Amino acid sequence: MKNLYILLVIFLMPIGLQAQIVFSEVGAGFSSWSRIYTTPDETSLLTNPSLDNGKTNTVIVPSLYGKLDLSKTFALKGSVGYAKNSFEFTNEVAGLSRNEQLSQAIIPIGLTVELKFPLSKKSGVVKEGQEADEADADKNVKVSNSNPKSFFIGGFGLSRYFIQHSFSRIIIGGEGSIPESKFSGNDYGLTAMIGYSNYISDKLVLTIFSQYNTGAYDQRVYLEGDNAGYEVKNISLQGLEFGVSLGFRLN
Amino acid sequence: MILQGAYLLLNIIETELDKLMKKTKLLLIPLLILLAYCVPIELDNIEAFEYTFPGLEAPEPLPDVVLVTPDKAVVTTGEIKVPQKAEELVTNVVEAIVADNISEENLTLIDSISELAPEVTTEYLIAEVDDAWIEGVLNGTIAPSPEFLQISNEFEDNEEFSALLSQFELPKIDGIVPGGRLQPYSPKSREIVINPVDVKGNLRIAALVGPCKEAADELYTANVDKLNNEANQQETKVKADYNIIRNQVNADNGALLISGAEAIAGSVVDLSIFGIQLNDAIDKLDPLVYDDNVRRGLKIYVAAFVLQGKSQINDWLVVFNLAATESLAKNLDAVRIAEDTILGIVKSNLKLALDDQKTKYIAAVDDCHNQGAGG
Repeated sequence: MKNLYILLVIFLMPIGLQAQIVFSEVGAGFSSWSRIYTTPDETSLLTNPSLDNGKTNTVIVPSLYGKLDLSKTFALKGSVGYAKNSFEFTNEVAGLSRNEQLSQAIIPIGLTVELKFPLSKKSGVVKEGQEADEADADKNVKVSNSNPKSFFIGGFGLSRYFIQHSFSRIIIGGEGSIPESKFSGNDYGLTAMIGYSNYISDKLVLTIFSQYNTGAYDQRVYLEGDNAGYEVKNISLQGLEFGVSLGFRLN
Repeated sequence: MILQGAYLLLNIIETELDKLMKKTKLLLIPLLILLAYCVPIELDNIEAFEYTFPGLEAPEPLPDVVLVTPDKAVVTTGEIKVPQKAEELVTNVVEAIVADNISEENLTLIDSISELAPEVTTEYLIAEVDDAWIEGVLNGTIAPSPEFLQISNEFEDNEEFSALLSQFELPKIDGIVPGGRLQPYSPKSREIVINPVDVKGNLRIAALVGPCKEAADELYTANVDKLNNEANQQETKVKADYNIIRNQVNADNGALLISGAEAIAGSVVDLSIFGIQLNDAIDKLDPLVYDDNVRRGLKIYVAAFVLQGKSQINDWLVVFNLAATESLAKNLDAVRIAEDTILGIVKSNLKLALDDQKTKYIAAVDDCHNQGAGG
C-alpha cells in the first residue's frame, strides 16, 4: 500500500510541478563541521571505550548542491557532502600490543527549504515600470531585470546520513587480529541554517552559511564473552557547521 | 465509459493535488518519499576484542615432583640360644646314663655347683624340678619359689657357672638396642603457605572498572585456579602415594610382630627341650655310680638354666616390643618427613607460580589503568 502511494505521488508529480519549479542554481562548497557529542563518541566502538561524552570533533565536508526555486522567497535545496574521519586506539598491556583503527565516512544528503530575503539589488537598466507603486513591485521586478544582489537566507531541512565504517585490528604478541571490515548504515537528522548570499557576477553567487545539524546513528557494540550479544550505542551527529559555497545561476 | 471515468478521476486528483502543492509549495512530496521509503539502518561492528595477556595466559604447569622413599629402620630380632659348653655337658650326662662316663672335669664342675644354696635341700630339688616344672616356668604358668630364685641368683653371680646358662641377643633397630638410646622425635616446622585468597586480597586493585581489568581479572583468576588445581592434584597424589608407603610400613610392622612371636616361641621350645633333656638324664643316672651330690649339682644347674632362660625371655619380649614400637614410629616419621618435604616443594612451586602470576596481573592492571579508560 505504501509503495502504491509512492508510485502515485511520483506519477502525479510532473503534472503538479508544471510551471511551479525552476531549477535555478547548482554549486559546490565546503564547510567545517564541529561535531559536539552529547553521547560517547566513535571511540566507544573500539575496544577501549571512552565512558565520557565525546569531545568536539571537527571535520571538513566538501559538498555539491542544487537548488529549485519554488517562488521568489522559497527554494528547495538538495545537497550531498562527504565527511571523512578516523579514530585510533593503541594499547600495550603485558607484552600484548593492540591497535585498532576506525575509518569513518559520512555522506550527508540534505533537503532544505530555504527562505531568502533580498538585502540589496543588482545594478542595471530599468526598462519599464520603474515608476510603479509599491503594490506592483513584483511585476516591476519581473520585467525590469533588476534582481536583488544579496540575500539573507535561512531554512530548515532534513538530512539523511549514510555512514560507512571500516574497522581493522592488529594484534602483536597474541591472537585477535582482524583484517579491514566494512559496515554501512544510515540515519536521519534535522537541520537549521542561516546564511548570506551575494552575486559576484550575473551568474555566480557566493554564499557563506552556518548550519546546525541534529541527529544520531545507532551502532552495535559487541560485548565481551561468549554469546554475550551486543548493545546498541547511539552516536551523536549534532554539531555546528560553517561553510562557503559558490553557485552558478541557471536562469 | 470506464476510460472516461478514470480520466475524470485523474483530473479531479490532479486538480486537488495542484491545490495542495500550491499550498505546501511542493515540500511535502519529497519529504514524504524520503520519510516513507528510507528506514534507518544501524551499523554493525567487529566482534568484541578478547583480551589476551601473554604473561597471564597459559601459565607453565607446576614442575613434577618425584617421591622420595624414606629409608626403613632395620630391626633385628636377636635370639636366645643354648651355649656350646652347656650342649657338651648335657651330651656327657646323657651318655653317662648308659656309659657312666661323666668326665672328671664335668664332675668337678657339678660338685662346685652342688655347693650353692646349701639351705635348699637335695630332696626338695629332686622333688620339685621335673619336666612339668621346667615347661611351666618357661611358659610362665609356674612362678618359681624363693628357693629357686636364690639358686638362680647365686648361679648367675658365678662367672664359671654363668657360661653354662643360655645366651641371648636383644632385638636392635639399625644396630642399636632400643630403650632410650634413639634420638627423640622432634616435630618438623611446617612452612606457612600463603593462601591464594589472601594473595588476591592484598592485590592493589585500581578503582577502574573496565573491560581490560575485567579481562585481566578473569585470566588471573582462571590461572590461579588452574595452578591451585594442579597443586591440589599433586598434593592429593603425593598424599595417596605416601599413604601407600605408610600402609606398607604398618604391614611390615605387623609382620615383624609375628616374626618376633614366632622367634620367642621357638626359643621357649629350645630351652624347654634342653632343660627336659638334661633333667631326664639326671633322673636316669645310676645312683650306684653317681651320688646325690651329683644329682643336686645338676638339678641346681637345670633350675638356674630354666630361670635364667625365663628371665631372658621376659627381657627379650620387652625389648622386642619396644623395638617394634619405636621402629614403627621411626619409619612413620620418616614417611611423614618425606611427605612433608615433597608437599613443601609442591607448595613452594605453587607460591612461585602464584607470585609470578600476581606480578604479571598487577602489571596488566597497571597497564590498563595507564591507558586511562580501563582498557
